[in-house]
Amino acid sequence: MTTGGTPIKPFLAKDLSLLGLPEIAPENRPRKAVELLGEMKEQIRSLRLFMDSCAKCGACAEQCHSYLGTQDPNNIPAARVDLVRKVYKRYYTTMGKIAPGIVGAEDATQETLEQWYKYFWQCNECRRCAVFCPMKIDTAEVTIAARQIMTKLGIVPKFVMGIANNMHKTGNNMGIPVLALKDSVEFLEQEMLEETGKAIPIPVDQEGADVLYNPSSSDFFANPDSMIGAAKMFYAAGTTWTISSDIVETANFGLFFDKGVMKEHSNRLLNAARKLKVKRIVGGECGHGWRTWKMFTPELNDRVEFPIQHAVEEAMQYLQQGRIKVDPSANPEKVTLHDPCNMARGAGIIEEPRYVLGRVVENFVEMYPNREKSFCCGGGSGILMDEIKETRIKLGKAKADSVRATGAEILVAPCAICKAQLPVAMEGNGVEVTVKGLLDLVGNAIVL
Amino acid sequence: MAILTLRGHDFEVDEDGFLEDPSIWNEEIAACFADTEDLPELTEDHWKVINYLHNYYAQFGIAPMIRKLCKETGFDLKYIYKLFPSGPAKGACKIAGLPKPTGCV
Amino acid sequence: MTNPLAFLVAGILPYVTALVFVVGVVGTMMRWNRVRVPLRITVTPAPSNVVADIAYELLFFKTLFRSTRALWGGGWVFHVCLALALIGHVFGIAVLAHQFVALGASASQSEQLSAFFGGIAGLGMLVALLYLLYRRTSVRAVQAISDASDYLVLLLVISIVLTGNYMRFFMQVDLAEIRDYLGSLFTLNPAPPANAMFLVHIFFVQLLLLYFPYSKLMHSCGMFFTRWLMGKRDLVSPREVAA
Repeated sequence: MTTGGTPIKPFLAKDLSLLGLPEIAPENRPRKAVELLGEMKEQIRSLRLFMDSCAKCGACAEQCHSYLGTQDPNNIPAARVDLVRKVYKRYYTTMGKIAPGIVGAEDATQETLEQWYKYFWQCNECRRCAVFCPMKIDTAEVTIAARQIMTKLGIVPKFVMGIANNMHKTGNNMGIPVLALKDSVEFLEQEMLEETGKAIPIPVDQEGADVLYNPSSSDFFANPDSMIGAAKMFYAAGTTWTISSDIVETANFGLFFDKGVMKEHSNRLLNAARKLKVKRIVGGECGHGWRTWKMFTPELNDRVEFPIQHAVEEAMQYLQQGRIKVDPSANPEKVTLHDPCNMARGAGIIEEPRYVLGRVVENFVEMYPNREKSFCCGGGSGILMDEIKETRIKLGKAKADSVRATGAEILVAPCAICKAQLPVAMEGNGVEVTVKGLLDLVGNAIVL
Repeated sequence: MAILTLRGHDFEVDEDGFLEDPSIWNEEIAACFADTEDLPELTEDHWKVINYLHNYYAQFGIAPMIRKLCKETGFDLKYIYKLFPSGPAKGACKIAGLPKPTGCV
Repeated sequence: MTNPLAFLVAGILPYVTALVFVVGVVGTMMRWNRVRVPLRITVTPAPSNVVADIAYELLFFKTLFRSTRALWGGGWVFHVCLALALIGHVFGIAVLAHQFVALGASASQSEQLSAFFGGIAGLGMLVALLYLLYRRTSVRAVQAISDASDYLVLLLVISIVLTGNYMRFFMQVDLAEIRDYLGSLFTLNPAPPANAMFLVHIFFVQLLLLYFPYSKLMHSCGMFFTRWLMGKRDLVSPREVAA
């Protein structure tokens, strides 16, 4: 696999020891890929159905931001799925075995795997294609399957593997050790004291708190306003809460490349909740993390005894119950909302951010398309590598067009990956806007 | 892992051009890496940021929160981008010999 | 003594076709159904009533209507006319096109009405299919995702429609003779009619039916499974407990 020259594919990880996988010699990879595909088609109904049910109508093409931005035909959702389907047909269907040329069936070769690596890391797993497909075929399911196969073959981006290693070692994707976490917590508490005159805590490892709050670790590096917003919100509402020094990460990168890693992350959170004897869990601003918690937790764990809800649902409830008071004049700018894919299409959080924004900002405008038709920011499924920045800018073009049309000054994105990708996408496509989290604006508007 | 030759010295760097082994870092190395960021000359303000980053990393094993970096150096983020066009994470951290900050950043 | 080729096409092949088609389609659906659903992958917002969602999609192709109107035109018109034509085949053969007698028409009026609707359906299918073929050859994105079979199957269906339309517009087909022939198949004593165009028509039809279970035409069945899977809230297989 080549990584030299102009990087058009993510750098490859070299150390996959965390995954404990048997090593597959490169010359055996195509054969092994076929084997794994054969197993997965018997284990995952979505994959199986999507292999067999595409009518090749092409309706997906103009709905996919990846194709629209890159104009690469392999980024058409049906074509992307075909990268797997052509191999599936060759080895596992009657027509593919007896008349491959007629049905577009192909042998699996090294070239096939090169294509898979290149194109399945240009799919953001945003699922917009599923919304517009008459069959509701979800390309993300095929992307997840293809990436899982590649993982088992030892083909994983360095960026993703590095994060998985950090998560394993420290319980968060950035690799923040406990002492640094506590230092950051102390700093933010000091900042809040200076700003508000009130001693607003960010409790760490507080046993018996009502809520275990699970933020993105990027809150402790690039997005502290989201953490501050959450702290102010819990304080104003009188909720006892805590973060866990064992896991201060809601973004589940396992979803992007390995089910085992995804499961371990989920298990770790529930164990932290058990250890701290909390009553419930609140997820912070992250799209994929939220989809994993909301939709996959019961199947990834032996038991789930904690209700889990999202911070924006929490905020909405506090507002409905009158437990927090907000003054929208604290946010006078023109504000628009980006619906993270995994919240709107992945887990049904659509109206809640609007309810909250409607009360904490003065001038809210919708962008179009929005809600479940919203375009992906272009960073979804972990496509945040710097080495493919040019590609990321193209992936973000459709979203940039939507934002530009609103004339908004602030772009609210309640998702850590979106917060990292949107500045790149906006700047790269010539749109001037400031990206903020939803909790950031709540924090501004809260009356303490 | 690759070898990057700067000002006649060979350094082991990762694919992003960050120093593989932070423990060997010193101020001469910082000056060499400044070349990769198109900063032939490092001013006193540059060094304030670089030293803060290096010391924080030495103590805590990770880059500091960007907001804290701004607070402790007295420079706002706009100015830090002026000093280091690639930004605090991709520019300043590289010159200060830290590993590249990763995650949803 | 029937022409041996005619006997092959109309006297032997139909049994093979019926077996292959039924076993293939039912078998495929059964195999699909056995595959587990390991995780909840609903696309939100989920429809409040999945059955209604599927019915609405089936009747109106609503997803295409809202997104790609031209494709909707070709696809929906083709499928609706196909449905009408198939229903017409059933009535035409079962009651010799006299179904409208129940509504007060005379036998001959019923036959004329049937011929009229059949003609509309046949022309509708042809125009729609020609548009879909044009689309597949001229729209870059559709071309990019097409393999040989996507074009061949369109040509095959067009051939079926052309031969059917020929019989509808330029021939006087004796429906009673067709009914007798079909009956002869059921009594395992096949007696193919002499109509050459009819034989060509059913040859193409059988090619399609033989190909059907092994092709993308299974989207006709798959659509129910996929829209159910992606639309039904809380659809997930019971957790497998590791050994």
